[in-house]
Amino acid sequence: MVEDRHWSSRLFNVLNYTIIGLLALSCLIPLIHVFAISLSSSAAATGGLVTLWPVDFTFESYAYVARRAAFWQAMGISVLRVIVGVGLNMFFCIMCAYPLSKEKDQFRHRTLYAWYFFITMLISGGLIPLYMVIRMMGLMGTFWALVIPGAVPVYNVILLLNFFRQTPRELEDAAIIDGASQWRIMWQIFVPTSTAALATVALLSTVYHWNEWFNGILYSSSPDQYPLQSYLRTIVIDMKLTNMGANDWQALVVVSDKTAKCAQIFLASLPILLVYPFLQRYFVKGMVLGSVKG
Amino acid sequence: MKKLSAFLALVLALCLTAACGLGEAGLEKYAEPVEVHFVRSTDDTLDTNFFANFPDKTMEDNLWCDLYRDQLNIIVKYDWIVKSGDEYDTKLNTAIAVGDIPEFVNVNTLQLSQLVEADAIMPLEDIYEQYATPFTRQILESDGLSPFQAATINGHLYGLPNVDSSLMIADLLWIRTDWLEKLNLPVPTTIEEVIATAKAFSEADFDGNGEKDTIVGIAKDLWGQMFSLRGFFDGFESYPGIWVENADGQLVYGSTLPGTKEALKTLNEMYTEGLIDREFGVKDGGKVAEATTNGKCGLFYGAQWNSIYPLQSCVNLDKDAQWQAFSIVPASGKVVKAQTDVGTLSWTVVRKDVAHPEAVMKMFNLFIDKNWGPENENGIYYAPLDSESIWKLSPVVPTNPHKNDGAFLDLEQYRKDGDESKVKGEALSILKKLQAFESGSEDGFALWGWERIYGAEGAYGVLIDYYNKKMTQDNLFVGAPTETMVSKMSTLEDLQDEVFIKIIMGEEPVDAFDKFVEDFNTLGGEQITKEVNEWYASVK
Repeated sequence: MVEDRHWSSRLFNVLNYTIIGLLALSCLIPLIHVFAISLSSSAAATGGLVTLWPVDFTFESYAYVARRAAFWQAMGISVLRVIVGVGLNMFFCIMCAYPLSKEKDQFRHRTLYAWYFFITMLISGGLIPLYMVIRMMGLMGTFWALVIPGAVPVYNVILLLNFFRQTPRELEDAAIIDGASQWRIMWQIFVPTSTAALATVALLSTVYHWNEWFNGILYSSSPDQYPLQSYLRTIVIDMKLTNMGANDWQALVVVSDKTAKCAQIFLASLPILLVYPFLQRYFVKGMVLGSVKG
Repeated sequence: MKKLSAFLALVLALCLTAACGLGEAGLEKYAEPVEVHFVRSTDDTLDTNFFANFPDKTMEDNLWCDLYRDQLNIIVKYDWIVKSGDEYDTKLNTAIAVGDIPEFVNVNTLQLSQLVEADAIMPLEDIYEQYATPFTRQILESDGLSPFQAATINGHLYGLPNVDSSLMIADLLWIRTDWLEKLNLPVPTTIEEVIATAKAFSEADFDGNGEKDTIVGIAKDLWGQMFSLRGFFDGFESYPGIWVENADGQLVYGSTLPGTKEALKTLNEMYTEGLIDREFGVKDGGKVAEATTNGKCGLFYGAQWNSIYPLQSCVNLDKDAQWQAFSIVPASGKVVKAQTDVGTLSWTVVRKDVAHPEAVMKMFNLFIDKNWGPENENGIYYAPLDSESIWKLSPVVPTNPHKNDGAFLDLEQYRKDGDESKVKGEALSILKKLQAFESGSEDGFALWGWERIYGAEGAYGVLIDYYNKKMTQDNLFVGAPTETMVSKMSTLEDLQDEVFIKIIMGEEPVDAFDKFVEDFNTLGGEQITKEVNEWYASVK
C-alpha cells in the first residue's frame, strides 16, 4: 500500500484511530470495572468506591464462586449447549444453504423453499404458541428444549447461501464430469472452500447459545437445569423494592453482594472473550463476503 | 355481594368464639399417601443459607417435605421451579395462558382473578370452614380480614392467604444519629425540621470533599421499601398508591389528593437546593445504597429492615456511624399517619379437578402449628442459626403477622426483668444475636443491623407505637383488582411516577399536577374509582 502523506489524510487517520480507540475503551472499561469490583472488599463495593482498581484487594469472591456448585453446573450446561447447539446449527445450516444456493435449472422450486424459510424471519409464532409446541412435543424441562427450537437459524442460512453462490460454478461442473455426487460436491468442494463463512456462522451461533437466557428459564423445570446466562440473570437483576413482603429483605441482602456478582459475571464472559480473537478475522471477512451479493 | 358479607361475618364470628370442635380434621393423617403437585419460585437465600450447608438435600427432599409426609401422609412434588420472583410470574403467566395450570399454586390477586375468570380454580370457603384449625384461623385472621377479601370474588373465597404483616412494611424515618449529635441537632418532628436537618448535614460536609453533596436518599421506584417517598407524602396527608376515605365517606386515590401537590412542591424546592440527588430518577436502590454507605446520605425513608441492608455496610466501613429509625413526621399543621397496604402478597389456589383440595389446608395448619403453635418447634423449622431461610422450603408459607412485633415485645419484657427463660422461639434466636452484638466481638458486629431493629432503640418500637397510637392509614380498598384496574392501573401508575419525577426535577411546573389528576380520571381513573366504591359499599 502506498503511503499517502497528505495532511488531510493523516488527520483522517489520527481521528479514525482516536475514535475507534475510544469506542474500544468504552467496551473495555466496564469489563475492567467489573473485574476490579470482583477483587474488592464487599463494603467498598457497596459504597461505590471502586472504579478501575480494586479497593481492599481480596480473592474472597472467587473463593466463594469456586465453592458454588450451581455456578459450575450452569457453566457445564452452557458448554454442552454450545457444543450440541452449534453442531446442530452448522449441520442444518449447510444442509439448507447448499441446495438453496443452486440456480433454478438445478433446483426447480428453489424460490418456494427459500420463501418457506425466509417467511419465518418476518413472522414468528410468538411466545405462547411456541411454549405450547415445546410442551406438546414433550421437550419441557429437557436439555433439548434449548437446542432444537432454533436449530435452523435462517439468518445464518442466508449468509451461507450467498457465500455458496459465489463459489464458481465451474468447480461444480468439473466435479460432476468427474462423477461426483451432489453430496460429495457439498462436503468436499463447497464446505472446504467456505471456511470463512462457516467460521462466521459458527461464531454467531456460539454467541447466541452462550448468551441466550430467556428460553433457559422458561423451558426448564428447575433451576439446576439453567444454562449460565439464565443463572446469572437470577442473581444480577435488581430486586423490585415495591411489592416486597415484610420478610423479603433477606433475598435483598444476598442479592446485593456486588463482589460475588461481579466475579461470576467476569467468569461467565471469559470463555466468549477467549473465543473471539481467534475467530474475529474470519468474522469480519465472512460478513462482508457473504453479504455483497445479497 | 350479600354472600360475601355473610361469609365474612361467619368468619368473624368463628374468630371471636374461637370455637368448638370445628377443624379437628385439620391435622388428621391420610390413610393413603396423597401426592400434591405444586409449582414454586426459589431464590438465592435458600441456596446460600440452606442448600450450601446441606448439599444432599433437594427441594423435594428436606425436613419440611419429611414433616408433611410423616405427619399428614402428604407427598410434596414440584412440576416446575423457577428462580427469582419476576421470572416466576413470567413463567406462570405463560403457563396460565396456554391452560397448563398447576394443581396447587401460589398466585397474586391479578393472577387469581384471571384464573377465576377462566373458571380454572375452585372455591375454598367450605374447605376453610371444615379443615382450618382454630389456631390457624386465629393466625390467618390476625391481620384483619383484608387478606380474605382480596381473594373473594362473587362471594367465594378462591385463595388461601399466605398472610404476612401489613404493619411491618410501613415507612420509618432513618437518620444518622452520630451526625445529629455532632451538630447538636434534635430529632426532627416536622417536615420543615427534616428539611433543616438535611440542609445541616449537607453544609457540614461530613465526607470532607468540599462539596455540599450530602443528599436525602430517594430511589427511582419512589414507593419501595427503602429510599421511599411514602413516609414523606404521608406527612402531607397524602397517601400515594392507596385508597382512602374522603369527607363524604367515598374512597379516593391518595395520589390525587391536594396534599400530594404540596408534597411535590416541597420536594421540588429540596431538589433545587441540592438536597436530592440530581439523577435520582434513574438510580435504583442498590445505587442509592452507595450514598448511605460512603457517607453521602444521612436521612431517608424506608422499612424497618433497612438497618440490615443497606445500612450494615455503612457501619462496616465507618465504625463511628450510627443510624436510628424514628417515626415519620407531619408537615406543620397536619396530622401524620403512616400508610399501610395488605401485607399478604400470595394466595394458594387449587385447580378445579384436584381430588384432595383439603390437603393444602392441612399443610397450612401444620406449618402454622410447627412454627407458632403452643408446642412449636420454631428453632428447628423456621429459622435455625445454620439455615436461616429454612421455612421457605415449605410450598405454603403463611406467616404469623405478629411474629416480629411479638418477638420485640418479648425482648422488651426481657430487658425489663432479665428473665431469659421466658424468651422462646424466634425471640430467643434474636436475643442470641443481640447478645453476640453486645459482646463487642467482630462477628457480633455483623449483627449491628439486628440490634437496630430489635434493640432498645429498635425500629419495631416505632412500628408498635404507630399501632398503639392508631398512627396508620390502611389501604381501604383490599378487594380483588376490579375490571378496569386489571386493564388500566399499571399504565396509570407509570403515568403518575413519570409526572411526579418530572415535577420534582423541575422539568414541569408544580401545576402539572392538576393536569395529572385530570388525565388520571379520563384515562380510566374515574371508572376505577367508581368500581372501587361499588366494592366498598358492598363490604360496609
